[in-house]
Amino acid sequence: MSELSLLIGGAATGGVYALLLAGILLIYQVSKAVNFGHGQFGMIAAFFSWYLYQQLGLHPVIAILLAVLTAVVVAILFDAFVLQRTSDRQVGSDLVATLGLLLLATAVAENVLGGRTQSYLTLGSRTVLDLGGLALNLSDLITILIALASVLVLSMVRRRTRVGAMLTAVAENRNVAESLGIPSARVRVATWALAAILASVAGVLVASRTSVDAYYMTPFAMKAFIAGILGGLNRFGLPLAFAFGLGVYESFVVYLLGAQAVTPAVFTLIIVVLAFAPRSYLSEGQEARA
Amino acid sequence: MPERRSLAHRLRPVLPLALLVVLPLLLDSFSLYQATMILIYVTAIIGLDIVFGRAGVLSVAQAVFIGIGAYAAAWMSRTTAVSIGVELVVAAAIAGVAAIVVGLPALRVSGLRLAILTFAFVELFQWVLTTFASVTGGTQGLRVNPGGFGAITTADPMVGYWLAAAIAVLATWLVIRLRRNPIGRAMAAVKSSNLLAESVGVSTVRTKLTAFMLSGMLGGLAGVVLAHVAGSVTPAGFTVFSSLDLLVALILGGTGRVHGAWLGAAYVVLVPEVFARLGIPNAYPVVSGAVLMLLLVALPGGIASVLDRVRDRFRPRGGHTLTPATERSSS
Amino acid sequence: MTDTAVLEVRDVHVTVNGVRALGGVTFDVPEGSLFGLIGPNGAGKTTIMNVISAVITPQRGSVRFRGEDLTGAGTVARVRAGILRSFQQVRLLEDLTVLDNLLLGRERFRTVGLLRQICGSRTGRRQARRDLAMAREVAAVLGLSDVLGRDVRDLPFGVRRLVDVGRAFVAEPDLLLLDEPAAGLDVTSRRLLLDAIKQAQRTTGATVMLVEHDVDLVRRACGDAVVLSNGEVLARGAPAEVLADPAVLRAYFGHNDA
Repeated sequence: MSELSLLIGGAATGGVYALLLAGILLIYQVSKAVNFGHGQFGMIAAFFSWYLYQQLGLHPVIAILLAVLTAVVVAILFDAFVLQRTSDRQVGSDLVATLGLLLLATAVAENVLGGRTQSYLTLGSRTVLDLGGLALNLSDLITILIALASVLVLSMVRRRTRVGAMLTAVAENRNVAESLGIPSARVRVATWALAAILASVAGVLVASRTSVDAYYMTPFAMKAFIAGILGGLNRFGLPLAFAFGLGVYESFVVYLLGAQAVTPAVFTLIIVVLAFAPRSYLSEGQEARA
Repeated sequence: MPERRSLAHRLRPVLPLALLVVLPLLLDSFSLYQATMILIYVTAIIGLDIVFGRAGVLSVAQAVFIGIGAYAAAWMSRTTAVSIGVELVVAAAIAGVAAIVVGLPALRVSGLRLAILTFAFVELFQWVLTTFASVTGGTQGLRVNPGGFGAITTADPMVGYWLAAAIAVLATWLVIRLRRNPIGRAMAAVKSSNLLAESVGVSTVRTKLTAFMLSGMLGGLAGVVLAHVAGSVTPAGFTVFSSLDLLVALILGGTGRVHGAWLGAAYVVLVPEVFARLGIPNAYPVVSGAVLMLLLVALPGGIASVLDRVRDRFRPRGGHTLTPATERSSS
Repeated sequence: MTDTAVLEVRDVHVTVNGVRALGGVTFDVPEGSLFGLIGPNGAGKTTIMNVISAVITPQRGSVRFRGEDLTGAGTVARVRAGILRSFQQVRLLEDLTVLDNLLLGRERFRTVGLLRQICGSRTGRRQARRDLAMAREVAAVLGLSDVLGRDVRDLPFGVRRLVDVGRAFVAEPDLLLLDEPAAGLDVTSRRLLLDAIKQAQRTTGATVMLVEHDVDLVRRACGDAVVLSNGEVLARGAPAEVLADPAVLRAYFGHNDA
């Protein structure tokens, strides 16, 4: 296996992490909550679309669109009716709420799927292209393209457009943003919707390469969170870069040390970064010193 | 001025303790098993309450500490001839150390990232369990030999029950003592604000690590009993979802109050049984997730807060305090 | 009081996010004084408080407490050495009672470790008795005796502020930094607080550094003051002189107090 194909394979996985992480970052920065249930938005989209095209015979594209819409609706409803209403009295109650979402979504899916794994649309994951002697998986390429495009577009929107400025304003200080006339509630809904869409794309892409069960997104979401810890949940570009990098890192570890080595390798990475990064890099959201 | 505890106050724990001792004689074997499980959960949940409810650190790694205790007990019961007392001490020690290791990132990383990190530690634990199969039995797990003191072994379910009860009582006593002592205030300070804690001279690092250590030790103890009562240990019993189960129980029961842990433990053991009896066992996890969210919105203090409110109706001078009864009445 | 300086601030520079908050601040705080720290908004008063209590580290300069250089000592170490502070923002343990919040202030004397606390010890009980006595004494001075058993959460702001400051007193500080303790208090509470501060000072010989906007209060209460403006020391001396200084008046331009 050449380095290039390892790189591409890794970048594809990293792309999935990045798609998930982008949504997690949006939600975290605007709603100030870590959405532990994020991977399940992807699971909902994949699984629901599977149900629609497999059991109800709908055209796959329509099925996917409807499923993504469902994920978006779930996300918005969750935020509006659960997250925003959790009291601040208990520390970490927002985290716990999203854990509740994780539990609920997983349990519902398990009940419907019955614990069996299903296979999904292939979406090009079985197609191998030959580019100058190099065998590349079409799905890998699609994933990388979609992930890169999404991340770049998001970055641009965030930095260069008015919408992006509104987002940053609400993220930094919601009250001030509101007093400037920014509709923070709508911004919030929009971020959850966008995050759900990104997660859905990730969910569908992963489903096309592996089989679907209630838990299949969990390891991917885990890695996305890890990239978030490493890069900082308050930043954007750096953690997403870490997400891609993590995928590549894992790919090389598997090749050099075997699949068993991935978990400890990732762990070592976390420990090294956390141990040696300067304190200022690690601190985020310092409490007011007044 | 010496603390004056009224006789009535001193006698308060006697009734529940008596009940605890007598109970197994009244129950059939399945109910006894359930009661034992509740007691095991109580210990585990109290451990989680110390680190989360009182020190304010969200850790989903509690399952790891229970798992460590369980696997340590399994291993010791198979390869050594130590009494269960030794198993308990060793398991608590290992789990306590592991908990400190998990808590070490608390030195450099904020609560949010720490929560994610604890998530990752559970994955690491799962990896260790499945990879070092020669020691841990891999995904199949290990059978646990009965442990005990000489002739009295856990092969007898009553022994298992009393062991679980003893540990649960110990855990309850521990957490009550924490509350009555400065360490309880220190944890509350750390939970509230790092700045506040430091400005009164409380070391946030030491307090958080202490909280982790205690939660780990209690988890380890619960794990030992669990291993012996269940008869076997497998990785599937110690996943993130296991931790989440504990979290649901704790939040449902009510954090920061010891009866919250008892209520939560009862919920987590009895309610799935109710669903199973009704023929819809799979509804339980669904309901749990929904319940968790509902609670956070409607009843953040858990069932215990409802009970507190009821109690306050009858005792208007309520307001819980860490100080001895005499002070409360003199204010 | 003697001329010894309990606190020596030397050439402290602080830059936060590229903005110069303090530039070369130097002054002494005499032992046992009620010392005022005044200046217009943004002068750097809270910043210097943060430096003294190690909430921020200065880029340059040093702080000496009783002759010892504090550089490198964190907040907890300074608290144990006797430097206590209160913040502009009231920070209390919401779920606990007034008494518990006051008792929290005694942490700096804690010597009993976890195990002995859990199992009970004579030293622990002795410390607890001492803690209780001190807490009740301070509560009496601040008029909090009636609310000792009440949950802090339900109390009005003025009382909460008194509890917040009371916690600092309970710690028997050598140097007490009070950051706008009277902000938001009504006239009676202000007077009560001021009297309490003066009384505590007299009995314990503690040095108190007071950041205050109420220039009148400073004039009445403080024996000594330093005026900061734009991160620099503008004037130093007795309040009456300092407040008559034209440079100070210029800095306060727009405020009708002087």
